Amino acid sequence: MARVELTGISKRYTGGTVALDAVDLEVAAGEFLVLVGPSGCGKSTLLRIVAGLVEASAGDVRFDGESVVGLEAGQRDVAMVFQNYALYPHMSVAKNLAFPLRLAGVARAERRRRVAETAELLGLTELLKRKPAQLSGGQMQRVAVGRAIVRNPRVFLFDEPLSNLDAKLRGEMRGELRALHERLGITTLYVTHDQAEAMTLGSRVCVLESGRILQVGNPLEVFERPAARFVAGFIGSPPMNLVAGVARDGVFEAGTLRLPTAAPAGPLVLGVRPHDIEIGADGSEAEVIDVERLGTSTQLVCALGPVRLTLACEGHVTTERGERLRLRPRPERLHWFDPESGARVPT
Amino acid sequence: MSATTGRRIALVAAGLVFAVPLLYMIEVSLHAEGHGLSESPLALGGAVHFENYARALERMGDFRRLLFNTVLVTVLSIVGQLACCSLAGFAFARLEFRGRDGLFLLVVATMMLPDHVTAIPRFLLFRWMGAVDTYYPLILPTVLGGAPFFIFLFRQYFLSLPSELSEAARVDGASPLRAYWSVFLPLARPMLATVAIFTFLATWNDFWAPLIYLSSPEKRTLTLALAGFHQTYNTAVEHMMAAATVVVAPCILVYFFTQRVFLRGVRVAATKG
Amino acid sequence: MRSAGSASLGPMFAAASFLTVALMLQPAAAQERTLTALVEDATLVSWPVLEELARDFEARHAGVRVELLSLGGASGTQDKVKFMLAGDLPLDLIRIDVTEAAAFLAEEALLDLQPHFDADVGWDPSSIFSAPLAACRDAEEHLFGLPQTFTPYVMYVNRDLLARTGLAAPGADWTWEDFLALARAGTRDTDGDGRTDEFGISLTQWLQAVVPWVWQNGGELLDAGGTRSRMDEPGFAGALAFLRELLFEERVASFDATFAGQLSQGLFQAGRALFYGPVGYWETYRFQHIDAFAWDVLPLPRGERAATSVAMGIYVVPRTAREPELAYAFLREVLCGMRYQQLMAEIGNGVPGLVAAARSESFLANPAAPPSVEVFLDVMDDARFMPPLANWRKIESLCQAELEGVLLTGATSAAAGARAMAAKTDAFLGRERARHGRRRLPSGAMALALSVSLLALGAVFLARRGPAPPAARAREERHAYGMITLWALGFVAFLFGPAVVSLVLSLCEWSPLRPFGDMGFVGGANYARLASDPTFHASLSATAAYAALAVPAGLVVALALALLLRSPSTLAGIVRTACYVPAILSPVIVAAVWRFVFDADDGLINRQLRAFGAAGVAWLREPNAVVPAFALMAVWGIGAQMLVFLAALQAIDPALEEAARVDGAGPWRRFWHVILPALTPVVLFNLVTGTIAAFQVFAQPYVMTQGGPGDASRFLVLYLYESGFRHLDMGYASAIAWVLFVILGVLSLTLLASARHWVHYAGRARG
Repeated sequence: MARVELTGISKRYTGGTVALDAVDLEVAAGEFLVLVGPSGCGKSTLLRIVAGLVEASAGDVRFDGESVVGLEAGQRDVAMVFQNYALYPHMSVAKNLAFPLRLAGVARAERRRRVAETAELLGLTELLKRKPAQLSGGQMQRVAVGRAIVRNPRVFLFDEPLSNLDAKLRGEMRGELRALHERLGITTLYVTHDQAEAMTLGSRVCVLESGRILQVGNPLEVFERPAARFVAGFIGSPPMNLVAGVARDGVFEAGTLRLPTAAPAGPLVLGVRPHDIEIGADGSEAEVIDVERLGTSTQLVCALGPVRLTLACEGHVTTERGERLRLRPRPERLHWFDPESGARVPT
Repeated sequence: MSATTGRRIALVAAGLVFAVPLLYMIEVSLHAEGHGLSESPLALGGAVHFENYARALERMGDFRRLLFNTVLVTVLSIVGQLACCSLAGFAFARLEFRGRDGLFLLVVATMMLPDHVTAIPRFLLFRWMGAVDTYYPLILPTVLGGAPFFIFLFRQYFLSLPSELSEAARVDGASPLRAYWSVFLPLARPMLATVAIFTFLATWNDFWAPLIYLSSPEKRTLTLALAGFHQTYNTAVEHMMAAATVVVAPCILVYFFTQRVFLRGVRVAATKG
Repeated sequence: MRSAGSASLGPMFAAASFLTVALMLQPAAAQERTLTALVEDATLVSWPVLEELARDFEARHAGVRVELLSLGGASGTQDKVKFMLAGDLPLDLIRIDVTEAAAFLAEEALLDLQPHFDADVGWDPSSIFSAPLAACRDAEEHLFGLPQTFTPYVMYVNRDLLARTGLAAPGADWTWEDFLALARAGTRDTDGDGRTDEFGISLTQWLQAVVPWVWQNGGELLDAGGTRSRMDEPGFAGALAFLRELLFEERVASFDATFAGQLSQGLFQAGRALFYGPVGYWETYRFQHIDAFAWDVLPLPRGERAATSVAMGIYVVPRTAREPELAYAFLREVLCGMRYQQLMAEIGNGVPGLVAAARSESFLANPAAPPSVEVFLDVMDDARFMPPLANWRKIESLCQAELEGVLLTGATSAAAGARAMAAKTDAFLGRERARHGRRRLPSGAMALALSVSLLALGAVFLARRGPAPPAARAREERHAYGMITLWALGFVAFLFGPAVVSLVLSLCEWSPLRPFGDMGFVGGANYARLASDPTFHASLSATAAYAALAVPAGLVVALALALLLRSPSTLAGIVRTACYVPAILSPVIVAAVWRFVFDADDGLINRQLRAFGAAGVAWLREPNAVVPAFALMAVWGIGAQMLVFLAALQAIDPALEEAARVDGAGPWRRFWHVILPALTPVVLFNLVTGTIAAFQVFAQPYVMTQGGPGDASRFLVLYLYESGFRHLDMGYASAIAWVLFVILGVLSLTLLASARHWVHYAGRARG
């Protein structure tokens, strides 16, 4: 279990592409931190820099205050679970689990004991003799996790480990990973592009975009007070409505939408979550242009002139396409962003 | 329907055209001694002369010795080729080192260098080493250098394996050499088999190197002994064909038993080349 | 903990040590005194006797071991001796053809044996036949060797056929007119089908067999000094005209089947030729089992005068011999001793050089020999050896190419052929004279060139390799360099280094019989020579024609086959195997088999052609047919290309074709617009590899035609081989190699550059 500190991490490729731009991040010992962002945001690169698989162009990686930059991946005492599991196809499950121990020079008896222990923990005992090709996706996933924990590493690294599983299995595995982390308490960095996974797994979430950290915080914080327009749009499902308009004399105008705002005059972006729009007698008039019934909830897409707003209603509503409604975003749940920088405009 | 029949007829015809020279070889090998190409054993009243084979082997010299030599050279060449090409292929595919791309360009470029450009200096080199009339000149070039094309094939194959495998091995603490030996080499078995077979055929059938380098009768290989049939006077056609059949047989057997691996290898070569 | 990370690489080291040990399989260290002799063919019946004699010799000479190497087996025996000498193998005694002696002498590769003879009190020169002995003397009249056996060229005669002509048997001094009359009478169409079944003569046609006619006709090959040809004089052309008359006008002669290699029985052996010759004693060995008719030998008929040529094997001691004294002792006691010389006679090797052996029962009463065996001794009065010329082999091969045009194909007239031979020979002799003014390549120049280019290579590598990796990657780089070490060593030792040496060599004139340091620098002379060398031009155009035929034809057939075999079925599997197997055969075997397929008389193709009433083609003897024949053979071996096409076909996304089918495209359009574009990358692959392979064809012409007829199949690599390893002109051979490399480089790069106009790469995510 180690505290991981990243300071000023940058990664530039020879072509001039900047994958990471002066990233600072600290992960407390035993913490479960999720790195989330769209593909190409640099999150996997960051994870690989921590692992020692990729060298940062600048910056320092410290475990418990000690720099590991000069160390090979194998010397850092980290374990990693890959998106495609990267199980050694020609080795049985038992050999896969034992491989890192063998490389670390662990004695045979000890090796056997720890493999058995890990297999027991993950319910793999029955599968030890099988080859990866004979396993289901979930089983492979478990073996990959097993191979990581069998070494009892200082840091766990997960690189989108669940994205190759179907939705149901993914849900189960999320639960298992959470339980496992609670049990072992190893510092964990977890990369995903799935914001739901980020919200449910992490004790803290770090949102990355274009090689920069936009926000770090606990899931609720990130959800409730997104620090940037990008975070607002990325976290939460269905995604937050983001409407570009203009603030004038304390009123935000976009299409037929009129909302009071404390923001200074000028171009402004409104963010409002679909759940935070009420249908009422007053408010701006809108036409329903699409209705999506999801069973437990219904999403309405409404047009306010050129502006589109999505709203989510609990349960089943009878509204049909073409109806006219009056919409009222809940004033205490509005987010304002600067259209230029994307930063949150404090109110 | 008729298209299928037409295709079948074309298939059979093509197969026959290609098989005929070999069948002819076997047929001639069964002719009566000393009657040239006339009087086929398949003709009416013709007789089949299997004893030609015994005579042919006898005339080639110590056949067991020849076979042993050929197998020895072949096996060592295969081992050398596999070691050299898989190591280099792995390094070029999976490791980062300074000058990698330039060096790999050299590998590719040397694929175009005809052997004959280097044949004479090579001969001088081996002479200088005192290695003429030993097996060094036949084996050493496969151990050192190998065939650039096989390095290329290995590289392509290793590139086709997921990159996470080498990352996993690194995180698990494996050195590059260890990752090669414990992870990648076992996975390259299809490629190893393919290169082994290609090397087997090339070495088994090689004529130039044994012709130039081997002199002692006890060191000769099968193709060399076979070529000797042409210029020894009193060449008997049927003996020569019998000997040819014997030399050919292992190649055909190897092909039969390894067809699947072989075809897979060609597929890799075809789609990655 | 982590130091164990690289442990248990045991298997690798085991493999490495296995290799090392295996490569140690060196010949046992030489004993104190070992005499190594390369004088006979182990497949001969006399071999055990020679071994026995060697043991006796060992018994007489304490502490001496005699190691006998076999000449036989290796294709091209004469080349083999050169490889061994060039390869610095310890040889103390070798047998060479007397026509090679001058070449060895010119390179100072033979030991002067005169001091040994002078010191040898028991040595009586008259115990050896005088003319053969004279042929073993160098320009200073020193003896450098002794005859093994020799044979004058004589005429074999079928006595049964002779009796049937009703004409009188020819006497010892029969003339060309007598010969022609007999030949006419012996030429018959026995079954009345319009084709001659019995010929007056089965005529041998290599230079040494043709030259007796020339001498009989008063002609000469060269002037006395060997500096100018006399082939354009009437005596020479007249003899050729006479032979052409026999072949193409009188039609009483058939070219000899043994000419293009011994495929089927010769006409004479089959009882279908009255005469056979001019040819030597060695044929008695083949003919001894003939019982269908009686045969004998005659002196050659005389023209203006009587003459014949002599073939001879001689024993010589290389200058590099480790044991010259022992070699001389073995030569005198064993090889030219009575017992072995008699044995040579008994096995039909020829006339023993030792007079006593030739006059003994072993020769004169040999049951295998013809009744008039003494003819071989009698004609020696009129017999001559070939001119002792250092480059005799080269002149022989230059003339051979022309001779085939005159006598084999009939394409050239006697006068034109004679002129061409004279011109080629004179041009060659002129070049040879010019070479004597060579400067010596400064010692160390080669080493300098090598080190400079290696340093340059290293410098380029160091300059262009980029920045050092981070510390964490240092081990990876170390391992990587370790892993490519084998390749890098090989690259330097077997590719780069040799390429540099070969480039320097191509500017030099050097025979491998000479020490490496003794190299003449000629600058661009080798390349200039290439530019004016008609043989090279012929070789180049033959190779180009072969590639132009074989490569496209191979591509089309391979593609057609692949399309046929595309849908998998049991039948397709069998056919695929049948089509592929030829590709895995040794070229030597392919060549051996196809010689029979192409054989003009009894070959598979011609037999089928005749069965359908078509005239057969003399595939390997027609200048216009030989290249297509080789191309046909190459097409037979396109299995690998077929498999590559097949693999590529199977990799085509079926959805593409289905889409085209839905769009209403017929099979032809689907092929043209969907399949072919998808195949273009492998077409390129096959085109490039096929072209490279076509330009390097060697074993097939080497085994099948030796470059003939004329120079029609003297493909580049064959010419390279002949120049370097047969004529020992390593500089010229290197120049050929470089021209070949440049041609291939230009062709490959042109093809690759053209690729962007016609090769379609499927849109892959990454290149």
